[in-house]
Amino acid sequence: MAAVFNLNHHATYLDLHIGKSSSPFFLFHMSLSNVLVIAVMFVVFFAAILLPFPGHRARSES
Amino acid sequence: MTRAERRARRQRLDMASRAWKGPYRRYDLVKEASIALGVVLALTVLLTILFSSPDDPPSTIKSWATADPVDFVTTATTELDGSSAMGGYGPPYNHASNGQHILFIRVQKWLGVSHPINTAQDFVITPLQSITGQPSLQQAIARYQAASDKQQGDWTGAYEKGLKDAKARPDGSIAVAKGDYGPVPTMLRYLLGFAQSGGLDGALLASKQFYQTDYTKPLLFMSDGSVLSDRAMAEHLLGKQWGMMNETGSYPGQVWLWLYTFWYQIKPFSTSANADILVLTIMGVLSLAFVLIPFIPGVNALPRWIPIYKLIWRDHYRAIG
Amino acid sequence: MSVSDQRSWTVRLRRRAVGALPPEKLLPDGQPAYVSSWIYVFGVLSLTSLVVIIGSGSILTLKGPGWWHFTGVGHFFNSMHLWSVELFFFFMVVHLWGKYWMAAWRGGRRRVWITGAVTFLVAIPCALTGYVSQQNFDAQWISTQAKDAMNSVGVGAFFNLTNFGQMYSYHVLLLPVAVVVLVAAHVLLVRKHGVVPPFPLAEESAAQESPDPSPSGAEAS
Repeated sequence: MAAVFNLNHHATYLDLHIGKSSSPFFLFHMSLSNVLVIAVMFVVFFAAILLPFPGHRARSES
Repeated sequence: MTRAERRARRQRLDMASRAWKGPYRRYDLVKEASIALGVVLALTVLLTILFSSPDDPPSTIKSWATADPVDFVTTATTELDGSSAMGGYGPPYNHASNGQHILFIRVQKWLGVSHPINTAQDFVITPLQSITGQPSLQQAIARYQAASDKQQGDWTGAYEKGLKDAKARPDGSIAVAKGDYGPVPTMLRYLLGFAQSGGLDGALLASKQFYQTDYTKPLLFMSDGSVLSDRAMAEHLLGKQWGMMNETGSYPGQVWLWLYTFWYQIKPFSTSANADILVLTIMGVLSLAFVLIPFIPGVNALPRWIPIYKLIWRDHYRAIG
Repeated sequence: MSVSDQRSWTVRLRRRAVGALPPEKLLPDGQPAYVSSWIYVFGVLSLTSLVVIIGSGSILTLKGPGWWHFTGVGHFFNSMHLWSVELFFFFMVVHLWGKYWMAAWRGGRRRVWITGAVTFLVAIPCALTGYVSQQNFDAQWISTQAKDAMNSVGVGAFFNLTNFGQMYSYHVLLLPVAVVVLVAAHVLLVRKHGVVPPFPLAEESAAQESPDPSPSGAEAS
């Protein structure tokens, strides 16, 4: 069964290096998919604690 | 406030957190769990329909020997003389080295050889001995085994040098410059043919009984060559490419391994022969600390100092005014 | 308790279990009024993700480990299994962040934190054994690489990542059982101790909190 979006192709990567690009002291190299998952995790966490929760209005009315 | 007073205050606050004596409201636990199950099921089905899952077909000894016969023969030669990575690995496969250690802790050595692998016998000679009806092959094997260790090393060393400039022929064989290689080229020529026919995959899988579920030998043989690492490099799965977290294609991988893979990117771990035990020790300590957070001073107080809880419980704090 | 009751292991176990978790605590129909944030749903989302993992995994075991490579239906359930695992870790991490910032171990709830943390740590090798059981290139690469880490600490002597039979057994039975037992302990401890109350803003606030009874008679624990 074919997927709507075929992810079986080379990934895009996020590269950040500290130091010379030819021999960096530290190289952060992560696939865009992984970066997105982590970013969405943070977004969801902050949304979860910031978004109003239903039931507050019911409680304040009761 | 003295230390005793601070401890007493902490205990009072802890006791106050034990039981909630405030207001409750109606709540349907089973309904919530059912809704959650529906949501997760729907999300999983949606992600499945949108993205499916990766399934890159495995490499085989046959595909390796056919696509890159020079690399196959070079690897097999290093297995024959024990100069391959597996040949010099140490426990749990052999005694060629002591393995990794941290300070005086040498667990790899202490736990010994539990999965014995003799690379020369297991990857080359035993599979060749299973080929019947080839007297020149059996003579070559006998000649090799009868030679001294030094003679064997001279032959394989010379052949490895010759292989550096070897070329693959269209018929799948390889062309190596003439040299004093003894019976080694004959043995490896038969091994290459055996591998390209698919026989070596089965021969390496064979063990003490009919049913097979242990792929250790073919996998370790392949891992000594470049068949797996070339594919891995193309997919950014190498250790220095943060590969532990990555997946083939553009799929998300094991994102939760981010901290584990991070250590391998920095010195001293990135250049240490003991990188694995060092990193695992650090992660072991951090994991234990993670489990014991409630007991770690400072770490267990951080939620009080950085008041994210005021956002979480803002309705409650507003209600009590 | 009569003398015969005192000697009966069954009666003693039953009384201890019912004492710790009476039905109205095991399946309460009320919750503290301070539970009013979306962060609270991530526990049950993690739990239901685990249910989907086990369900999809069970279907994969029905037809054996090679099935999903050769049929569309098999591949579909493999994808369900993969994405439910990604969701499980995703929801579990958000749940863990929320519980940390609530200091949810307070008030005698340290074992709740500990069982949750250990569940996370046990889920990681459970996922690893799954990855090396895929019987594809990914499994080949992960097993041949991760074996070095296992071997370096001696675990490789009895846990062989390149042994498919062993890894499949760990993945399908031993480690899921460990995860389920830990999750069950975690959930029962939450039911026993209740969801952690908010930090008192000041000690005076703690003293002033209203002592209203719960509507269903469910005990505060």
